[in-house]
Amino acid sequence: MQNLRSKSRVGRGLLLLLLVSGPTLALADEGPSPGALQKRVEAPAPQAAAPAVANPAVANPPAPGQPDKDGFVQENRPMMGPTVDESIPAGPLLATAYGFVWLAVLGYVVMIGRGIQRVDSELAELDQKLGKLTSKS
Amino acid sequence: MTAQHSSPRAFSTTQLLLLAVVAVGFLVAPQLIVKAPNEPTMGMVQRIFYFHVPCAWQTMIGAFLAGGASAMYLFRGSQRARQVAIAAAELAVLFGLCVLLTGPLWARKAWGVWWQWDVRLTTTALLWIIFVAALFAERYGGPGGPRLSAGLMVFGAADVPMIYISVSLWRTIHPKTSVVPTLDPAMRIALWSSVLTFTLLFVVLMSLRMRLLRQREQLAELKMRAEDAGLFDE
Repeated sequence: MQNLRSKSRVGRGLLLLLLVSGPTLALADEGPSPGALQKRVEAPAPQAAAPAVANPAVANPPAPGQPDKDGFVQENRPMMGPTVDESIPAGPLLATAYGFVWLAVLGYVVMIGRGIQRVDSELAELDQKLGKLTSKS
Repeated sequence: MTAQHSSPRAFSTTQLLLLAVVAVGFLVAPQLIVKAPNEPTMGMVQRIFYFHVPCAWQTMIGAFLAGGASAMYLFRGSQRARQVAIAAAELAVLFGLCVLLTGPLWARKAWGVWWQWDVRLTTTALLWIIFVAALFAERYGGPGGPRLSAGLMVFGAADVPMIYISVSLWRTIHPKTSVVPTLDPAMRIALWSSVLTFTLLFVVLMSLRMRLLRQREQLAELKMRAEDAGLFDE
């Protein structure tokens, strides 16, 4: 009787372990979500033991600075702060933006200036012709 | 007829004064921009903001002005309104081009991509295309061109409120307009000085363009009258 009870207790324990470890295993097979990885690492030891055996990537996390199985490199740096990673150089982008605005405005001013000059010269020409005509008459 | 041609100088006194103020503004604004603190998440590239936002505002002012003046031209036939519409539309296209080119340069660094079909970006691009089309219609549209152009400008101006409220109505990657009051005081000073300078620049360019349009119209009228009077029949 005692033996039967202890066996059923072991059976229930195994069932519970399966129920708990099932979703964890499923999580381990999901994509490269760093949050999911964090969850796995933070899980209590007895539950995490099953996926750790099933998934070698979790059992052997990549060395710092090395990409994991999905190609992601883990970084430990503050999200906010006085310094940010300038992997794409900001200087040329900034200079191009300012330079373009300057050039566009300058180009437009030159265009208007030329237009005014052309109209002025045409008016002067017309004036001259009219002057000649009036002097003849 | 010679009395009508007063041989004007390239710039009037008011325009010269305004140009001087704009020049001072363009000397002071960069210094304020350099002094403004770095935005912590985006870094140096965020400084595009101080040119990008004023250009966007001038684009919207230009489009709105062009739309209003075009409506006046359509309903009242005012030639002066038509001149205002053309000048304002050209400036909307000019500043719009600056917005559409400085924005992607900023986005490349901040978002990792040059362009996103986000509602704010898409409606701004649409506004620019409408005004370019309107200017083409005005120039090459033949006898009905001015009216077609005016209609397009009214249609384009209706896009302005849409652009403004788009960031509040839809989920968007573009920063909201509510960001401005939360800026650091030094950033705010740099932004407002830039906005003021660009607004004055808009006024100067607008008055110069209007003057050119007026002179062209006077010249065309003079030529027509001279020909009608047979002055050039030699």
